[in-house]
Amino acid sequence: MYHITALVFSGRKNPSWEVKAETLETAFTIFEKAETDSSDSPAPIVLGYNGLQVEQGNKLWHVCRGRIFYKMNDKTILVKQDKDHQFENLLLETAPPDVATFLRAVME
Amino acid sequence: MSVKVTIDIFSGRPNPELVLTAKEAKELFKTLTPTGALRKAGAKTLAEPTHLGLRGIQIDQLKSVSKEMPESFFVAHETMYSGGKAAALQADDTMEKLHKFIVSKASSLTNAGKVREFLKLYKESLVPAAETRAKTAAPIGPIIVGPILPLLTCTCGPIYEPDWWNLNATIKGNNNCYNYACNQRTDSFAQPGRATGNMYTSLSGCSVAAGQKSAKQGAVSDALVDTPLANNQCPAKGHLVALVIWPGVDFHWYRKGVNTMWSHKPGSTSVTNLDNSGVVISDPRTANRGGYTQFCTFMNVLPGHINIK
Repeated sequence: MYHITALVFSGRKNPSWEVKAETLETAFTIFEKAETDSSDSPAPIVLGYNGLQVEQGNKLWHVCRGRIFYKMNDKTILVKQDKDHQFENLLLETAPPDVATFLRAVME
Repeated sequence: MSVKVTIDIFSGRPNPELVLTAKEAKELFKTLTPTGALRKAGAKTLAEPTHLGLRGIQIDQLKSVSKEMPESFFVAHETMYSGGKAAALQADDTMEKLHKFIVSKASSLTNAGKVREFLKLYKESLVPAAETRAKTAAPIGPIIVGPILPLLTCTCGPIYEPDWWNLNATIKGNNNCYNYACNQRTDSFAQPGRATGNMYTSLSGCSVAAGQKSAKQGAVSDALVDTPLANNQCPAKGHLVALVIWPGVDFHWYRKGVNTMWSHKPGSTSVTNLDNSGVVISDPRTANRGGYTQFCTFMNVLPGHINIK
């Protein structure tokens, strides 16, 4: 199982949900094939939507503003481009309907 | 070697020093022209600062470089002090120029430890020139020491140390804006009122419908002190925080630091001193706050008094 969190709230707990590994197969294929991003500078933090985060054990993928940060033990190992937000959109499709609706509104 | 420049910033450690050549000192002195003769400090003179943190710059002529300048003098908030007397300096950007001069000579400082770290501390301690000018425009008599302190820095304000909150995944992920504003790690994503059994029940706005509890009420229950008229001024005790609301969605907190500037921790993300436009925050009321459009109130946090969970 993978744990997905939407980084969107400041005070309240962020929305999160669980998905089965097979649900994310396409997303991870996209990640594997994605081009490496030359910059590993962290995504700027703002109030509001700061991307989606997928966690499994000590591994974490954080997609935000067109880039995917792959981390292990909280250290960034690799940064890839999320062309046309494909990876992000696939994660978003796994969200509970009310959460997905809210996040799409916030992302706009 | 003719003139010693001491940065009066530390309390326990020896202060960083710099020794200038006569040529360098003369260059520095050009920026430090008093408006007139030094006079006994009076009602129109700000008291010499005594607070913790950057207080000013001490200058001692080890060899006489300029007879027009006192042998030893102290410079702070656009004023020169020497032997119990004081004189305003001519240019109202003197401190800014003086600080730039010091930064340019940073590699020659002694007692400063790692220069890079010291410069970071030094720059964070600076009060913006415009703010200093605004403060000096309202002079206070020299005997009154207490009330003057909050004008110069937020003496009880927490220091801006983002790395402490950002580098440890447990701290970063489990402490939110409320933890950061209160300067209290609980690892529980603290919620206003939860510790005291009065957690908010509505986030519709700063004020909520009868029978509901707001985030502000929750915070008051946690012993934060509501100070809606604080007007971005540092409290005499404790530190100032600000509550904003994303109506119907969420709440957010900022805190005012020792350098008078604001910082915040958006949820489980990193601590930052920037707003949504990437601008440093001098007043949360005017900062770009994204969806948190409703400015609710300023509150005062007295360390040891509050109870958050």
